[in-house]
Amino acid sequence: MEQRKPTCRVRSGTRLLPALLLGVLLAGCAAQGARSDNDPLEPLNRKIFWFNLKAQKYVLDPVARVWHAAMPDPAERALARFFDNLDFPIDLVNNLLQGKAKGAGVESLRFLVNSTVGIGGLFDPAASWGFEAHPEDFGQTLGVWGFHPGPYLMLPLWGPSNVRESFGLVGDYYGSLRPFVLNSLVWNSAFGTEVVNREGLDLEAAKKRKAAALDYYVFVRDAYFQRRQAQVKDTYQVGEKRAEDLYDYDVDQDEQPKP
Amino acid sequence: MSNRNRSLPRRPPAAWPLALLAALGTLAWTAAPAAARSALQSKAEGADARGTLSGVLDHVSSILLSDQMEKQEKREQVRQLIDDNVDFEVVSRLVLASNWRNFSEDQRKQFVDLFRRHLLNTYWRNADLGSFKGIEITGDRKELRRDWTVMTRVHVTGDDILIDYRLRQLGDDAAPGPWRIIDILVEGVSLVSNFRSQFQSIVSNDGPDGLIRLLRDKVEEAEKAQAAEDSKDQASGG
Repeated sequence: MEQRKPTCRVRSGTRLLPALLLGVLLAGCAAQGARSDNDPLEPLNRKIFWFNLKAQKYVLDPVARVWHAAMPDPAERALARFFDNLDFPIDLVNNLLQGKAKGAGVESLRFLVNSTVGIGGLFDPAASWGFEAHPEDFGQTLGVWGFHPGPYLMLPLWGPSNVRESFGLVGDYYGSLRPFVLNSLVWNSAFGTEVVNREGLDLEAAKKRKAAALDYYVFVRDAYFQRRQAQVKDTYQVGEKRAEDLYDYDVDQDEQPKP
Repeated sequence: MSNRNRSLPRRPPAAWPLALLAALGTLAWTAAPAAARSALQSKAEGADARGTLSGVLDHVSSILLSDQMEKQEKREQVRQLIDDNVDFEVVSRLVLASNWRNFSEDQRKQFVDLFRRHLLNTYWRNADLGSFKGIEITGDRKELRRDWTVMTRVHVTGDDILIDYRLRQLGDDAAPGPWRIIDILVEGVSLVSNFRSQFQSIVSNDGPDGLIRLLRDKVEEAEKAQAAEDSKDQASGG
């Protein structure tokens, strides 16, 4: 447990309490199995999901549409890069916490290069020189340390999460260089920076996902689970070794041969 | 510092040049012990699976990037190509898992047909013609059964998309058949696994007919919307 060093913005001793609480709760959720349908709060989660979709449809989407129409695509991407660059401490600390020296080195180099040559992070010259991003967040670190995701949680105005990732978000919140006000969701949705920016980029994709799903709630829950799992294991870059029963129907075939 | 220092992502060995493989193959086949022989055989299978997929993806790329074809023509050709190379019956059985045996012969037929159409519609809607730049195969890996995973990177405006394809060789050892796609994993998210989760709760609540009904509504809605869009395109084009 000595590994749980405070992330960089934690200064005062009063912050020790949440850290202790975190330890206790995570120990609790570590006992649970890792399954995408670990969702004891499903009725409540579905209500929050419904609320989020409505909020998206009637508040975020209209704002995003105006934003998207007004901003040229390159400017939108530049802004997304700018925010990514401010997350440098998160990437650095979590690369270190996961023992990834190379990732930490590359992220430091990227921050130096992109903040200067890339004009405060608006551009990403480092990537074109072969230094691709190695993003890591605190939720992933907790996963690497062996904590299971725990029950699925749908966070209001935020989206899919679980117990482990929610603690991860708290860690990331303290780790980012973004000014406090810029990190608040209310500010985001009211004045349209990152959330709207993200939504603006994803507006069409979200519509397509919805059209592809038969139960959109389960679709999102499972996709979120699988994706985080792959990110924690770093397997998604080279393809993930799947639970093999996913590709097996021989059992069924034996039990009831096809006429 | 964490002591769980994980190994770097394992890169599959580079595929042997085919000519060398063929030359070595004939030589080794007679002399090599069984273990070495099966290793060679799996290399050859890998080249087959990779070759099949690479052929399909090259074809898809050339259609998507073509400036000769109309949008509608592109769609029909890509649809056909996907239809020919994905085994929708296998996909359906994997997706329904143990529920498959609760489906009657007739329900199975309906389901396979509807799910096939749903996936084809979905695939096309997700093919973003404007931002597509190309596809690159980044590796492959042997799996259990007669399966092989081929990893790809799709180049688009913005961030690349990582897509893995799982292929299965039809037939058996005595009479090996063609390779067919049985799952697609987008950024680590498996289509089979995702639909399996969705369908499990629907079947347990509403039964096979409930799922088929839901799927039929979805498919008909999408195809109606597509037809409307086509006639609009035609009106504005001509």
